[in-house]
Amino acid sequence: MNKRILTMILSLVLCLTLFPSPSAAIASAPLSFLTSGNLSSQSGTKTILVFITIGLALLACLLLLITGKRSWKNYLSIVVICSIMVTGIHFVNISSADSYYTSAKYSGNTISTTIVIRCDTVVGLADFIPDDGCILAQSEIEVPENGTAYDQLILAAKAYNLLLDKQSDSYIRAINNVSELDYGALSGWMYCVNGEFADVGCSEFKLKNGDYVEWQYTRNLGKDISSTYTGGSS
Amino acid sequence: MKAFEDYNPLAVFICYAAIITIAMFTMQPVLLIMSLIGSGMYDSVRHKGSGKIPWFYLGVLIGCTVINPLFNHTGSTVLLVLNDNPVTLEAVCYGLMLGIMLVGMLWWFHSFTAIMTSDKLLYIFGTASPKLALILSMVFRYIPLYRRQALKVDRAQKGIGLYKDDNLPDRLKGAMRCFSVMVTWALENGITTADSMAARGYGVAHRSRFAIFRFRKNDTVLIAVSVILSGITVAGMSGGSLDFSYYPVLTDFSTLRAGIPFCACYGILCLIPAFLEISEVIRWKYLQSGI
Repeated sequence: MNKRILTMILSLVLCLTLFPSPSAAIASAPLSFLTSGNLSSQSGTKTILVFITIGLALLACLLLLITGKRSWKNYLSIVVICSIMVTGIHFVNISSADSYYTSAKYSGNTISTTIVIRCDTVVGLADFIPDDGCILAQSEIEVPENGTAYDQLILAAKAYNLLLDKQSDSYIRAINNVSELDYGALSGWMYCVNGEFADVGCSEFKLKNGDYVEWQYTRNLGKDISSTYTGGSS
Repeated sequence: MKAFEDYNPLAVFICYAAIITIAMFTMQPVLLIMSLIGSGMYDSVRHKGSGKIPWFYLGVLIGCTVINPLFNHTGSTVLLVLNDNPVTLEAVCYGLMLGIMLVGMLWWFHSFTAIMTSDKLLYIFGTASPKLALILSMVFRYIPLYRRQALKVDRAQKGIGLYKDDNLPDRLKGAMRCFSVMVTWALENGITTADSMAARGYGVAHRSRFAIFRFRKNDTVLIAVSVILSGITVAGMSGGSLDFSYYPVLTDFSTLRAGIPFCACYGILCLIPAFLEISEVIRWKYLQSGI
């Protein structure tokens, strides 16, 4: 009885070891235009992590076998925990700082957009805030077709070494340590496209060719900032 | 010379309060490490150094170090990027220090609950309000009481063969059943206690109290020393030489030099309990050898 179940579990674990590489590629496929540069190294690290997890699980099984706690429920719980961890690993993209901030540009159809990030409202309030309030001067960003303002910000962060802190995929909490709620209860980051403050989250806003996106830090729900958009090409 | 726990409860309480309050309101690494060392030494001396690895506390330490950088993305030195979220060195350092603070705190309170028995708490808070003291001592009584009762329930369950002890899922199920039994028992016990107190005339007349502790010269010395040392440390904290900030950049470590005298004061304060305990052990051994 015990031996049969043990072999069953071992074969299940073996199956798990065989499918990490294709499923890792599937898991990172939707994000591929953001991680295209290091996809191969990505799945490499993941496979190693999966192997480590399964190795630990096998070690735990062996320990149970040796110490005589050979109930099948013990093995079952180990397999459940192990598979939860393996699934978790598939959803995590790990990359080193160097490879993240130098990752390659998207090679498909792109549109050209402009981004500027400013925090004029808090200049001089902390020594890490730039004196001219300019975190990122006007810069051209190549965004994939149908890319959103969020994608643009991520690509800009990669290209210009910005440190983003975000809540889910639509709300930006902090850029370069200038964080929401740090300078008053109504403070935070807002963005406007072509001079108009959008009323959707930045991951909902689809960009068009030539769009001019401005990120500004407000201390009063946007009443203290206004767009500096001058219209059209500059 | 007496062991730390034989001092007057008021002196012991003031010493603890001085140590714990400072450790709670600072994130200065040297102070936190001092508090960790002091609490760890005292705790291990009291338990005669059982030599076991403190897995739980190690888990707290590692957990804090790992979890803080996963949720806090402030800082300036990026180590890794997880799903577009930067993991920064500053957040790791902050998590580590938070873990050290938590473990130090847990160790202080571990020894605190062991030596401050309910009669001592009654003695300290009784002057202010005997009623408060009674409630406090009853509350503190509940923890060991529940532990004993849980053990009884557990044994009874095992005795009637309700769960086998050899696998994880069954053990979890058994623990859940024990928990539900305990909740029922606790509610019932609360009512019984209230009835019993009413039957014995609680709340009928004015409450008085009696305590057997004396205030000796040593206690005055201990209170004076802890007040002076903590006062110096607090002065250093308000003077700004013990400031340390983690975000967005770690404060330069060379600025720690200005705080050395204050850190030394706090270090001495943290080592007082362990020192008193060790010197008592040495004295006891010496006297034994003379027989």
